[in-house]
Amino acid sequence: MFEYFTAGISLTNPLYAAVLLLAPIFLNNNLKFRRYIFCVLNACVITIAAPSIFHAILLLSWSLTPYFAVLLCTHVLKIRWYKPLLITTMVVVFAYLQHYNWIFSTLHISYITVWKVVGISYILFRQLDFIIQYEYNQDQNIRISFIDYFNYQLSFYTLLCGPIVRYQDFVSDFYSVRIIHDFDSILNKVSRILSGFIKIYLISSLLDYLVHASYEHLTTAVLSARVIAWCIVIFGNIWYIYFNFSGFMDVVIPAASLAGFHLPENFNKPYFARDISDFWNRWHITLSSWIKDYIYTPTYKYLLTINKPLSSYFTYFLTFLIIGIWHGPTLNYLVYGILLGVVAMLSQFYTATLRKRLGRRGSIEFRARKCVHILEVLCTLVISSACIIFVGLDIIGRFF
Amino acid sequence: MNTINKLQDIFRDVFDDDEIEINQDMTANDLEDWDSLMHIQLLVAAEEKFSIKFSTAEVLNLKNVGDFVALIDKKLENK
Repeated sequence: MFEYFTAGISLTNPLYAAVLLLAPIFLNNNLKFRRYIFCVLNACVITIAAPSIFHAILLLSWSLTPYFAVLLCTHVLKIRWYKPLLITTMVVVFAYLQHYNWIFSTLHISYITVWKVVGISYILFRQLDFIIQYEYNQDQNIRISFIDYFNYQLSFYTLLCGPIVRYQDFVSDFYSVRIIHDFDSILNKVSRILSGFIKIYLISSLLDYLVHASYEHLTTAVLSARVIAWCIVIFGNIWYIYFNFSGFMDVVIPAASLAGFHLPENFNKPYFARDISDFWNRWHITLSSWIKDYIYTPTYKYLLTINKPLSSYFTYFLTFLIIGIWHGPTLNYLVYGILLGVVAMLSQFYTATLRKRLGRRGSIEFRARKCVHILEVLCTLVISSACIIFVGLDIIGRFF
Repeated sequence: MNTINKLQDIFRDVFDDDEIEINQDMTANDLEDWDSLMHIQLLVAAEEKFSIKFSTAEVLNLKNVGDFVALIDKKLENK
């Protein structure tokens, strides 16, 4: 068994819940020292979460390395190709720390630690954003300092599961505090926090129970029981993840807002999506947006430049494969990524075929029909649900 | 011919629509076909036409046509 830490940053931890509730009081009262106060609060949360000082030091070293590495490479060593160097290093170390067994066991490399950090994949994407945007942010006179980087990377609001904020947005937002004074707004935020708790502890807990109970019966001998179990797992798991994750966002986003932060939304009615790309524009939006900016756009741009045929299909596949792999270190997530990639290519093929056969205007008119719209939404929901069973459930282990 | 006019030719070429009129405030929401694939095709076409290269950070900070024109002008100045 692996030992997880930062799991202490959970809404069930009364200390963490207390920090969430009290943070607005500390942060809104002294704007001059706001960044230092936030830094102390973040350090407190890390202390609550880490089981020992050793764990805390490891988390801090891993999270803060890019700041010093970028400064060293750009100002002292003057390495021109520091971006690919640092990005590769961070990704390899991340895969190692996350125990991506299908990579490291193949290479016969053993792990030096048994601990894993929950939320490390979010830390990685913030690190890469900082590295890639460093020079641009400097040109734009975006404030870059150790304390700002510390707060950006280890903000207790976003440490565990996002939303994935960009450094530039974090800093701009941090220094343009909007303290909420009117009672109605505060009430709205509090009611959203309560609805978040209901989503997490009532709805998603119930779905979690149903999914895990059904998971045990996926291979049962009775056909009807097996079909029912599969249906509950397929359609229950996606809703479990949705209510759990969006519930967490419903707590964190308004809680941060009460402390003067603006965090981006992560969900926008994904169940109304018309294809897999649309689904990912509505589901875990900040992840999709990150992937679009840093994986999809550069890859497609590069492939177009070298005039490679079928570049859009390859880009879609690669993008969704990385989305899958990013979600977790086991083979289940690799399969999840491959499935998403194949579905994305098929979806692209469907759009391209419609355009080819019906023309630009004709395809828009065709897709505007109500029955086509409903059919597309239903297909997307079923396909997304079928793919997402690999998230959080060991489907491969159940059969092999 | 100034940058925005040259960029308009690129838009017309990429979207295969000779009636497109662009302006500084125009965004992807104003053109039906301006999706992420088309956006990247626009970038590559602009790189070829102006013989410049955009970095990832520059590309993701483009908010509208005005930003795009400003970026091209800045790149041409530094050439």
